[in-house]
Amino acid sequence: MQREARAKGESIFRLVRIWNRELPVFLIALIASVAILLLTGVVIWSTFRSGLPGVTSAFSVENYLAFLSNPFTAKGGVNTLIVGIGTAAISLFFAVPMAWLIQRTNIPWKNFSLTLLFIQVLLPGFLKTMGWIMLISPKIGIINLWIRNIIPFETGPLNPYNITTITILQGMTLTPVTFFLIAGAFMAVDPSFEEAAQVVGASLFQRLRKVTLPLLMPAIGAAIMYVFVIGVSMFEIAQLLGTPARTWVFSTLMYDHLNPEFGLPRYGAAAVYGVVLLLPTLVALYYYQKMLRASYRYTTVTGKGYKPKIIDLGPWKWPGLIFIGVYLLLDIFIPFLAIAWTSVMPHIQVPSVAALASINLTGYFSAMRKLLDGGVLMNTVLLMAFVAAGVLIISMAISWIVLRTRLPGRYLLDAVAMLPHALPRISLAFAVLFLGLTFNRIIPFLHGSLTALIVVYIVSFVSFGTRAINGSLIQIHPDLEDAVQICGAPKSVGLRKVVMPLLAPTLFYVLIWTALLSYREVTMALFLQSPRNMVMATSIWQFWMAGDTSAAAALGVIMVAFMAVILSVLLYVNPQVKLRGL
Amino acid sequence: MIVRGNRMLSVDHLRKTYRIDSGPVPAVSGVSFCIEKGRVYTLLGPSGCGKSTILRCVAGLEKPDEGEIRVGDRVVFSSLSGMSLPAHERNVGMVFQSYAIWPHMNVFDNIAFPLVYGKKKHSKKEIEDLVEGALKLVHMEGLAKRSAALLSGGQQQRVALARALVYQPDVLLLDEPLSNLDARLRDTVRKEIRGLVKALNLTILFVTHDQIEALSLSDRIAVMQNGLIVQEGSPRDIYLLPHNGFVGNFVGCANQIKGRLVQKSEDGQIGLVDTVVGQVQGMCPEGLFIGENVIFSIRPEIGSLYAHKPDKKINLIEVDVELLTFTGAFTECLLRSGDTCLEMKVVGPDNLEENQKAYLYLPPESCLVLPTEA
Repeated sequence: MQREARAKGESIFRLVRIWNRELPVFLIALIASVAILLLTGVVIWSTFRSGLPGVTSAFSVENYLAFLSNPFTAKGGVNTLIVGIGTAAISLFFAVPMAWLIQRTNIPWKNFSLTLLFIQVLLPGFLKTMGWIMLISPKIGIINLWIRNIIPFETGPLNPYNITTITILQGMTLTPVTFFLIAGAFMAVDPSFEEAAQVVGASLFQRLRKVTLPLLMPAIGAAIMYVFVIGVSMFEIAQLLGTPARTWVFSTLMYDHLNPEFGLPRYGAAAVYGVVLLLPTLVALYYYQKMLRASYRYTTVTGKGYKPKIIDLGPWKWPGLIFIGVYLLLDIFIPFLAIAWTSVMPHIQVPSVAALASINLTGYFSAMRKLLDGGVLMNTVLLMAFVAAGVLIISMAISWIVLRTRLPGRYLLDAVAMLPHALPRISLAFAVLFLGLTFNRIIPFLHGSLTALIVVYIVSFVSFGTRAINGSLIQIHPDLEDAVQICGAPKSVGLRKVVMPLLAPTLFYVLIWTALLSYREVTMALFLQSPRNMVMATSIWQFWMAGDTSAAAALGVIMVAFMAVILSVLLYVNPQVKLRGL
Repeated sequence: MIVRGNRMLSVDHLRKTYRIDSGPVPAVSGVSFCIEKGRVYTLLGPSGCGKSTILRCVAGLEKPDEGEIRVGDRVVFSSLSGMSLPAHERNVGMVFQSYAIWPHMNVFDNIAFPLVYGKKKHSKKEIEDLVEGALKLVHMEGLAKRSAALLSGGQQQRVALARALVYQPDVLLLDEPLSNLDARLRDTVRKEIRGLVKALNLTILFVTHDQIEALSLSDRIAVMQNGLIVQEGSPRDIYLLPHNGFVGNFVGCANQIKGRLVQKSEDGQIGLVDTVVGQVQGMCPEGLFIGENVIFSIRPEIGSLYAHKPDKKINLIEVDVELLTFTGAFTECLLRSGDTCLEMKVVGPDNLEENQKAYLYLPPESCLVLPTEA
């Protein structure tokens, strides 16, 4: 008994000693964990409150009853499921052949394709959707106008405002994510499996179907789960294409409850959609983890770093290249060309010599005025800087604690950091909104502020940061730090002269990437939107909703141009970055 | 007052238990030893025996639970007074198993690091001279500007050694420094280290699981098992007079036959052991009792093999020759008597072939009767 008590006293004493030395690091990790757990808790807690936040109300299941009796629930649920499954299917349809073509065959312009896929991850989905609306909107869509010049339809014939278009655009938007999730597995398959099949006389197609793909099934399965999870809670594309046609999914229903056309926002009822989305998310993520583990069983990870065999496609490389080209055209070039064209037009019109005469920069003038007058530019820059710095510092602290200390419960910390990954972003944004309203009297600066945006962005991007830094820190042998101390220099010198320089490329990548993630994010910004925290992405949205297409397009062009500059710097400094996946 | 002589390192009653999530794991359970100036002291044992933990405790990279560690005349750790110098104030040198060469620096910057960032300040000229001297010691002249990422394993090893020597630490710690080198390079480097030790009068604590490295490099060896030193002595003592079967086995004695001590000679030197291969005689240490279970230990190189029954009365075992491998200096043979296999290294005879009967003679003065492991 006494001995036990003494041992306990000693271990507390030890803890206190560690705390003294590395206090700031532990404090950062602690605050971040509390914030994450708090937001998760609020999402669930708020569903059991009726009435407005901040007003004392009793515990009730009223919101769940309302959810069940709402006529939109069943329809929305089915739509959400269709969109989720469809999104995964479409992204797989493009990503699997592309991963094989780029990683395993001698197709030309691989580096170019890879670079574009890498950049696409950051291109805002809502801009692309606006581009497609400009092209195939029933009344004024450029392609529809073209077609009607030849065949006199009344309206249309193409129409983007339906569930099919939502699914296709979401699927194409997530294709690069799927690509980078499975590309590593394509490289890791031991070529001897395929060679063995070749030796017994299997053709290329038979080898693919009977050997390569079955070996990759767990990795592909994991990617399906991952993309499904994002697909069911995606907001911006469904909002732009579904709401005008009154085609709802859960994420847009949630937004509608918070920003109703008539009456007061119904916060508790909105939160229910987030919680209901959490369920399939957790199930899918469970299988994701399971399949991820299974995928390691099949792949051979040797220290030798053998190169997988590159397959010579012969003349078939041209159809392969066309396949990739079609994807890049549909997902990037065509919609962004439409945006660029519209940005210099007073209204949407078919490109022609006559139309060239009406080119003007009115859209750009409106865009610039918005950026400079309303503090939008300042907000955007502050948001990017604070989120990037915050994510970097918190991720470093968490990674370091998890990998370089023996703190009890450090793996719990890792799990907490990954938690926001499982929560739909719309739920996280909702939680911050709800907190800001509830505690409006105590912390009046939170509701509708840029701070609210910064907090929720940091929370949702920390999982990306810790994953990236974990991956690099784990490769730096602890001996390299120990050697510094043996050589007579204190630990801090090791951090400065050894760890930081070796980690620098990763830190730079995390910094730039999170800055750009917060730059292009519109969903969370819309949920927390107020006149005080307008950023570039929400300004484009505002122009669009007000019907000023040329200003929206012009601001979109400015946004993408600036992003291209930063990405080129990143790719110039570290050309290998696009191969690391995400 | 105790005269400490010229002890450079002393470790007293060291204990260390790791607390991992699944519970406490004792690594070192009370170990004491000391090393005199200019001597090589080796901790020899299988992985997990606690030898590397001791090394890391001495370096200051782990904190022991109990005990005292002195480097030179300074106490660097004492659980009684609660004092613990951080690693960078202990003035020890260390060569890591992984070498821990910083890949983002060149050779010069790696070796100069302790001079630039260490406690003692040096002028630029001094640093250049010292690094050049260290490079010369390890035969790496002219490679100062090479990036460390481009070094071969052997070169990294040399740079690690140079970096550990350049600031003249009181004690040099070597953590299995040869285990990542290929066999031939290992022999070369081992001889070079031996040369350096004597030329520079270095005090070394050496950790290894390789008995040949231990025997050939050390002045004293401590064989470790389960966090304890089971035997300490000169390489000769450890090899010729192991205290028990574990030590015997670990320093290269492949043949151990279980048996029972049935009789001792009048002076108590020779013991008669009843085994499955018959009654055999061997040197018997004090403290063994008649009737006790023992191990009869035969080193591979002590036996003689005969095709025809020689004129010997004792310790003659009839065996089947299963395998003969001629390696030049001697012939390795696998012999069988009943269910017992013996691996021996013999010189001659030339008239033997596989799958024939032969006679193995074991001189009693070269065989050992050992207690079974506790």
